[in-house]
Amino acid sequence: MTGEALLSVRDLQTVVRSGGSDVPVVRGVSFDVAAGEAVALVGESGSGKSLTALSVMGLLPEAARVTGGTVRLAGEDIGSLDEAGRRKVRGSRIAMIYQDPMTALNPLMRVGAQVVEGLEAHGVRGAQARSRAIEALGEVGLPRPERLARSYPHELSGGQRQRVMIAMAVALRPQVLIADEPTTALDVTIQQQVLALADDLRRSTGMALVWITHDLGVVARIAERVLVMYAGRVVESGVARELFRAPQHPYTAGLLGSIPPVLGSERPPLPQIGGAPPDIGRLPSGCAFHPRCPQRVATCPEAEPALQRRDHDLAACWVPREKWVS
Amino acid sequence: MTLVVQDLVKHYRTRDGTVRAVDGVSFAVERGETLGLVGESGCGKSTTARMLVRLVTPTSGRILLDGEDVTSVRGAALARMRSKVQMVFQDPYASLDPRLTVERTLDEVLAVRKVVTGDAERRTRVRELLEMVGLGGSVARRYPHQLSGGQRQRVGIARALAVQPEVLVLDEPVSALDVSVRAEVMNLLTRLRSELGLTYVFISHDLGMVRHISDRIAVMYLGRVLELGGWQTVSDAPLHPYTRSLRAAVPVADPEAEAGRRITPLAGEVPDAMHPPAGCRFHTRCPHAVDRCREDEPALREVVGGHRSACHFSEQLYPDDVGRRASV
Repeated sequence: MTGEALLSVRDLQTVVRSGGSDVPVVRGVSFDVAAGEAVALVGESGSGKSLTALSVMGLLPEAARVTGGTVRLAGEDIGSLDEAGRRKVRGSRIAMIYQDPMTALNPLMRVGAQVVEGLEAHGVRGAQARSRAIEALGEVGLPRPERLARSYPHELSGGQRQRVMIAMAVALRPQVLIADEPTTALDVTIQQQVLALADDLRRSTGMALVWITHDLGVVARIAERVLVMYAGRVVESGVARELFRAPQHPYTAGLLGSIPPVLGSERPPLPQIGGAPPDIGRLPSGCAFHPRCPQRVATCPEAEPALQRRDHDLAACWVPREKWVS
Repeated sequence: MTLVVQDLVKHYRTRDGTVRAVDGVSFAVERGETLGLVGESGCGKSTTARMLVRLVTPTSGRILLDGEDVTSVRGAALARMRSKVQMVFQDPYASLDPRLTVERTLDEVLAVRKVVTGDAERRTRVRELLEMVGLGGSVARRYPHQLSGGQRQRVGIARALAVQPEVLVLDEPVSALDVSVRAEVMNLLTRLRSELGLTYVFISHDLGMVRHISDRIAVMYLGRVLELGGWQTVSDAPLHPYTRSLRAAVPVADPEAEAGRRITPLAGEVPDAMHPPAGCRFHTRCPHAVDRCREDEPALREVVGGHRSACHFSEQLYPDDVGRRASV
């Protein structure tokens, strides 16, 4: 698997400085993404999914830093590059889009010029940069890209701004695109357009996609493989179809079970997990999910389980699915 | 308690023109019933919610509560109306005073609204309210920032219940919560409805949640109701092209089902509410639009068995669904 992996993350550790001490927020995350593959990173607030992405990109906020692990892109250890080296990789080979496009767009600059600026930073110059920028705006489905390029971000709708951000991200044909909840603030009909666009780009360019979301419907629509995060760790990973059909971690099972069914005439109470995701600064002992877990056994509060092979995927749980109580 | 809304309109005058946020909405909610209002941003569902509790005054139209016109009541009559109709907001963090403990928050409502008098009675009532929403006594002395999102929303619900209302207007009550916490709050709302005989207007962009809790569902688009009917028929066999598109756009948490769906994304975006399209408001995005749709605005009319649709062609577009129900 490592041989084929385009992006390979191993035992990533990230901490956030808070109140004079370092709080571990990403606690030993490992995953591989192959070229052309779509992987979803699923989690709730405080799961560490966004900080994992920012760690991979080398874009952590000031208070956070990576304390361990490696990030390799096509075999090259990009985690150990200096800032200039990272900047070169970012945008050209690995790019990221965000929930709020305004964090990536300059409100005072026409959107076309912003795409051009991104290209120029990576050595594409003059007329070539301008025509590539227009082309990129067209590729993301924006109508009349020449005209649209002259707009300012505030003149565009939320969906259009999201498309501009995607155009900026993919203009240099990166090998990996990391998307951090880019459709969460959008209406479902616009979300559907953006998901279809990302999927098309992946298929036509062979770009790998890492899609971060809390929405299991979005996961089912876009991802081939899934990583489920809880309290800074990957608790389950596997092929989407298998993972949804027979989840191997009680947290994944709980999340899937709590979604109202889309068909049928019965509406019984929804199975609920109980409790809330823990405060990352005060994690429960042992398995961080144990206080909420219906499958808890005596070992769970004492020792944190490692990811291990369970049937078709990997799960960090002491209790195999066949021994679960219903 | 019946809540009747007749031709409700809210227009906002701005420098650039008039925003038609809500543009002629009518519905009735019977006692004990839950009406779901679903739609995308800018459809007018939240403005409608705010008019129901009179946080926003309608431009025109009427709101009747048990036959009494409360559209523009003031003073004591407004207070009386608000003791019957309460609102629960999406973000309880924004709607709770950060400087007040949970206990004080509830106590203040009880004192101001004179629901119960006497310190001891109020304390008892605070405990009862917390118990009702599934919060233990230990939560009473905490401040909003010391609570989880789910706990805060429970406090928001307890506060709405403090005045013993008959109707709750719930504006996206679970949208801001973590996925693993939503089910719990939905179950709480279902339980409270039956225990207290409450009537709900449940507003959400999430068709799945609306489907789960509603008796009837109204689908809104650009300030209008485009479809209205029983929960299962509107959500599973809709008779308006917009509802069909909305339903197709919602991804289902089942990769196999998703792989089998061949969906053409709805083109374009919701038009500007300052200049809604002539004719049917959905015609600019409708895959079935013909000339008539561009000129002639369809009325919200009954198509079959109490199921209403604002489309000229519901019968022609969905003959099987209409036929099956007509024969029942």
